[in-house]
Amino acid sequence: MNKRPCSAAMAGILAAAAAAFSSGQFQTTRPAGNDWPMLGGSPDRNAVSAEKGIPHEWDIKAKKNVKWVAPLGTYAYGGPVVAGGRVYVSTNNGGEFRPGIKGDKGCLLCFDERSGKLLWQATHDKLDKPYDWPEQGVASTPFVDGERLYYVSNRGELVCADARGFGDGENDGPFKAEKYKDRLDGDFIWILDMIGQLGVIPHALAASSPVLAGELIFVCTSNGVDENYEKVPAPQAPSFMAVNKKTGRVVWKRNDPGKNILHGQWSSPAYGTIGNQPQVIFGGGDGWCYGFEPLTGEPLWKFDINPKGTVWKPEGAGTKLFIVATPVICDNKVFVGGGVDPASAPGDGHLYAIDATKRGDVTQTGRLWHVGGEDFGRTVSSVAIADGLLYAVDLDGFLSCFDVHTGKRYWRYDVQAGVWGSPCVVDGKVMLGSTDGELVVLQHGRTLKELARNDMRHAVYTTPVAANGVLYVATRRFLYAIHGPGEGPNATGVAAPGGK
Amino acid sequence: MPRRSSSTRLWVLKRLTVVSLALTTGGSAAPAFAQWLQWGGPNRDFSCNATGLADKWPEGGPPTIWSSAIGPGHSSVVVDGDTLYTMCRRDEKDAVLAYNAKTGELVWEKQYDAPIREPVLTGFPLSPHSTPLVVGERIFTVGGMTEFHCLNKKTGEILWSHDLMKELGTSHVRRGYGASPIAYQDMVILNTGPNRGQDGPGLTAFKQDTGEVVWKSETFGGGYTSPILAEFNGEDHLIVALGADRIGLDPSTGKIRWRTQVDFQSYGIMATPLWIAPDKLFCSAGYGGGARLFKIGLNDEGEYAVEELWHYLKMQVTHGTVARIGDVVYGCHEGSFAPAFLMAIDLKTGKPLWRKRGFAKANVLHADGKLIILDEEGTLALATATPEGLEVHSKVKVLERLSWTAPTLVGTTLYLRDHHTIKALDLRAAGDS
Repeated sequence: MNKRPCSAAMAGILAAAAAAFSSGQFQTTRPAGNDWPMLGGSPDRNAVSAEKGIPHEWDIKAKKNVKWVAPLGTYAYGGPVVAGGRVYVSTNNGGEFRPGIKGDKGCLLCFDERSGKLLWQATHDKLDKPYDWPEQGVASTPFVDGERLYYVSNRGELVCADARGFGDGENDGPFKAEKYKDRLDGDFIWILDMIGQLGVIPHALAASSPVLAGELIFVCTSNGVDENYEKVPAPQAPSFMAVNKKTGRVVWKRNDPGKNILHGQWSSPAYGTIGNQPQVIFGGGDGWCYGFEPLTGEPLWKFDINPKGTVWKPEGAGTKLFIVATPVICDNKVFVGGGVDPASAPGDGHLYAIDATKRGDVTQTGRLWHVGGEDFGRTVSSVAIADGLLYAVDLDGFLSCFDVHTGKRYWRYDVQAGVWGSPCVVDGKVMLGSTDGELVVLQHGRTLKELARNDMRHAVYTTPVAANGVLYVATRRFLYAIHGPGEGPNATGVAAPGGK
Repeated sequence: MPRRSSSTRLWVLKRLTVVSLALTTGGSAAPAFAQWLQWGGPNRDFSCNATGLADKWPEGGPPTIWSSAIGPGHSSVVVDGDTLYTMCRRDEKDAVLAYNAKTGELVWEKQYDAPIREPVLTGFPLSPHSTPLVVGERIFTVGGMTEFHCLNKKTGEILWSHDLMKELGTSHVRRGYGASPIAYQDMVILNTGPNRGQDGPGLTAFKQDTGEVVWKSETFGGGYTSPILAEFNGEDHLIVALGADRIGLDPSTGKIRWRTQVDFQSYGIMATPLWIAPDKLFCSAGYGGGARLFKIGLNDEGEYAVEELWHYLKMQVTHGTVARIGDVVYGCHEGSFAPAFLMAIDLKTGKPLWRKRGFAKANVLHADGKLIILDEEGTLALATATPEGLEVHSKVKVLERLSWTAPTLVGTTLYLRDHHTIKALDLRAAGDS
């Protein structure tokens, strides 16, 4: 392991500074024994869980600490999320779990939280290129709101589905034209076709994960460049939008990135109250991060992640980046890194802390700190912030722990593999999946300590999450429910979060 | 501290051992004269018997003997005496090229129409990926859209042709056909696998002189991998890794002798299997595949049986080459859209010996006790690889991104190409002539 402890002098300064921080300032308000109903666990997208009794080690072969395992398709990028006794994962049809539904499809699978039994499967036929991508399935993580869930299908649709599927024996509408409507199929409430109705031309695959606040669902459209990477064929089509959750009607839409989309508009929005102002935050395919007034879509601020003089070239060959990662809101600030399509070349990146109380072009005025160049690479992952510590990982597989106030680094850990998912802080541990099929567990704290590297057999492109005392890890092939020997939320004997 | 220089603590060379070159290249004998007539070299394993290579290159890299223009393509270079052959794209045509191997002058160029056949994945160069095969007076080529040609190697005249997709249902796997032909007796054998779920022979043998089909195997999945030949139990085996299948066939008839399936494998499998004489097969695959070692044996009934000895997920050779030295296989873990690691794996245990950052996705070639490494950024390196670690002696950028073409070594001349340039470099030790 390549450990990079900060110098002794720096450690002394940081230790002194640390004493001045209020330890509760950045702690999540999310109580233990709770669901994890969306990407990042809450609308601010800060993946910090208060669950207890989550083990740091398990053995999927020997079934040690494994509550249940459920097979997925052959790729899984979305989820897991846990809500209302159900667990959801987005994947493809590689499992062909529904007899009669064969071949390549996009799928959203719904499992029983207690047993891992498959309850229903929402199925989306493939679109022809360039709107869809073979074998990649549904890539959006659903947002679950009571008996409804919202996600983006591989067909570029914003979908509202019934959490009970057709298992309740009812075809809830207004949408009633489901192609697959057996008891084990997904029941769609409404579908907003972003391609057909809004003129969006997604690049590669629509992938954004919605966030919901009040009556509104916020989502990116995945509008992008053409097949030859020459221009944006639909610059007038929206990149960002707000949709009424009951009707599926567009409330507002914006095309700020427009013709300046570098590759695709794939990021996922975050929502929170900053100062006294509710804001929805979008990461732009043009390399700008945007804050909007949620009800109207009026712009509040925008921030350019690309320094002057950077140049865009396809395949990651240039220096200009765009935002794939989901921005995270914490303590009136927005944290976001710059990235590229993960199939592109890795390289030097940027990570910013932005003061989101400022207005207008805040590229200069809102810049609180920045790391980049050789110190932080391109990323598609969101950060996780707990107890004044910010965890951020790049595509090259280096996980860093920064001081959230200053951007000073406490340590850097070499995952020795690529990382597409994001770190999650749970039960005093930092958890992170790798493209080489390991689930890395480090101790949450200013000192680097590796607790375990758990073999998951297949690549982990998703973020591990904890809900109701159980950890869920989706590899590209299987969903694992992992729990401690105490079984469940009341397990004891494990250190509280915030350990050093 | 520079981020990507990284990870030296564990992988640093603990001691420098002189590699004794006990090259055990199963069965087939390497020709004594300098030739590289097929994908992978004399034994199709990216090891060759060249000697007299420099231990270290001059500051600016090894001297360039010549450099010439070429069109796009990943097709590698084959060398037959004074002539080298490769392929490239010319707008809507493919071209088979013959260059003077000593001077880089174009000897002949044969172009043929090769329009794009949908469905293809865009954003990817649909140039020829397959490497020509030279047998006697003929050269055999397959273009990205599955046009199969036999040409007169002196003139470039097309002697006979097959449209593999049209006639046999061969898949171009949406990114362009990529497997390289192999010769057996009077036949040339090709990967002709269809798209998943469709019918068509996995492999097909053609007569070298007439192009007549000699045999068609049963259906198994399409893919990019090239077949190899090995000798076991007194019989020749034609071995291929396609989709999830790892198959040994009788090269005379195309009948399957043994077969095993791995857990789900993307059709994106590209790496050529490596035969480990006398009875083992090393396979590696990207996109979640990993490395596997199989043992071929005979059961109590005298039938062939395959046993998987180990599987190691974190050596995913996607389209790179690997090289074996003794009980160790060296190659590049290319991951699934993830950073690359050069690494060594112990054939006996399936355990990694070391893993090193510092190169992009790379091809390796083994000769004269050295490892020649070419990564996709066009960085060429000379190194000594041992079970203890990798000592890089020289490293220099010689080509442009994306340099996916495996290098070719004939004598002390290294042939390389990217999408614009083909060149010959002199790897001789200084003072030799």
